[in-house]
Amino acid sequence: MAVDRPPFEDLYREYVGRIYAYVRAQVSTSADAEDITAQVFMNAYQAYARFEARNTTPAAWLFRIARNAALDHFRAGGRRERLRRTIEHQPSEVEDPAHMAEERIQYEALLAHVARLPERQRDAISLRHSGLSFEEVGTLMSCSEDAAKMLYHRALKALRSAVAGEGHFVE
Amino acid sequence: MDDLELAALQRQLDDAFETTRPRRGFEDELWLKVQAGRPFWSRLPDALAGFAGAIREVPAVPAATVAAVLIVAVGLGVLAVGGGLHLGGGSTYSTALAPQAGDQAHQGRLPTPALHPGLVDTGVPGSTAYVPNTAGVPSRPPSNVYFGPATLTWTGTFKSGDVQAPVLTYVEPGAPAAEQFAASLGASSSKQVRQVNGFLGTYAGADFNVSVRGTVPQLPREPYFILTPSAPVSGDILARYSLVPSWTELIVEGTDRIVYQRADRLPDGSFAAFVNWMGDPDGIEVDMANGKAVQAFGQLPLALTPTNYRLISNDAAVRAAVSSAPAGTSAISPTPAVQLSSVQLVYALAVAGGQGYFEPAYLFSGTFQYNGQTYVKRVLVPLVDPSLRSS
Repeated sequence: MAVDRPPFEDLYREYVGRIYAYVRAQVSTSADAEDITAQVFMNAYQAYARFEARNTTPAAWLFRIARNAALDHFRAGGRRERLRRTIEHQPSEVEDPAHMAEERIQYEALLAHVARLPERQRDAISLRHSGLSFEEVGTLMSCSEDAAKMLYHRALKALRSAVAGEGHFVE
Repeated sequence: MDDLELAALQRQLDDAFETTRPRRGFEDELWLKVQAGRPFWSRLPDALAGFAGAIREVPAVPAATVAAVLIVAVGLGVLAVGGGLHLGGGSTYSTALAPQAGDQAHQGRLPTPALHPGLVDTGVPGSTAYVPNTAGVPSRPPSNVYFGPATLTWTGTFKSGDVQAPVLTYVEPGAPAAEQFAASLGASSSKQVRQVNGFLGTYAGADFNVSVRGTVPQLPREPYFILTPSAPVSGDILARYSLVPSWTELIVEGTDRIVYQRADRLPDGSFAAFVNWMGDPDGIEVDMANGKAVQAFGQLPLALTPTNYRLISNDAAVRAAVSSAPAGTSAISPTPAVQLSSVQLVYALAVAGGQGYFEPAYLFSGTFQYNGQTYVKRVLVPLVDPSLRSS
């Protein structure tokens, strides 16, 4: 029986940038973000035959895979070391200065603050600003829509405090 | 006030997530990787879609960034493509892919090659960084390459006198040339599976796919192929698919990538190595996984026409190097003082008017310390007389 789902490439083209941004907010280097993003779409491709559009949105489905991949990355690779690098803003060994400058323009500092939030707060911010509804955020984080909203607003305030503390946030 | 601040923060977050995107080229590379990673039977619909004209993008290239480790050797290969067709440029500058109808020679002054560090990742897998080393002595690559402002002095020496090297010109190939190349590998144009922007075609062979892409002018990068076998290949993937280059090569070996850097012999017997828009080795690269080759990509064999232009002297090149404007905008503060101690004669690409020009240039480099790390400063100085070049 034919299943009504868009070609995987359509999904890929639509979401690869957003998934990368989400992952980039979780990890300290663009190299890690690329690796995880690659893993997300390799996994997604393998699982696409089982994707049921009537049960979830493509976005929620992909971000679930991305969230799991990011968690696996931390578990497998030694989260402590990555966290230390994030906190200390140390560039990874292969970071190119020009690339770093480019990323600074792209709100690297703000995302670095996001990356330092507690895990659930970081997730709430990242998922919400990746375009998911609170309902989808709640589903992904195994809580209600209202709980997701509360968690998000707590995270937002924590982020504001963190940014203000270092004087990076201006508007 | 509290709400206003939070709203402002939300806007910044929206902007941050909207504007944070992978480097250019990553999307296509990853898509190719996804494509390459799936079994043949699952690619069949795409092939059929290709027949039906519902053609889309291409498959991918592993993007793993590698730390290149060693310059191993200088070798010489001979390209023998199926059916006796001889492809490749090299020291003879003869060969194969004939200009297509509609191609027009570019007249007037030459375009000027330059380093483009801001475009480091476009269209191709991550570049390898290493210390230019003309002596062939193994050297460990630096971890950072710096293109920003620096106070430069020259402390090195040239291995030879003023350079005599021709400019090598190619005419942008069209789809027929891509098909010709694919056919030379045993891939059939009747099995074209996908086609995307910038790619001239993707073709299926018995156990591989090969994509051909035209010049990427933004970098710039010359036309190149990407060959993906259906299963990892033990041994020499280039020999297996008739891709052994005719040109002399410097082999730059990394943990999961081998770069066969093109190095053409000059009239005086010396060599000029090809570098890309970052000053990194350019030629053919083979991606490895678990000791097996999973992909090969590199310069499409092209007919290169040599033309002699008046070149500047070594002294003039040094003056140009130490007074050069930085290629990159990112800056280390305070401005580092760098002694340029090494120089390599290279070919760097510039494009204009539907043609590509591999122009002789000097790639100067020197190292400095910053924040406990070693950085390499690179400066590219085109050797064609400035009066013969456009700015």
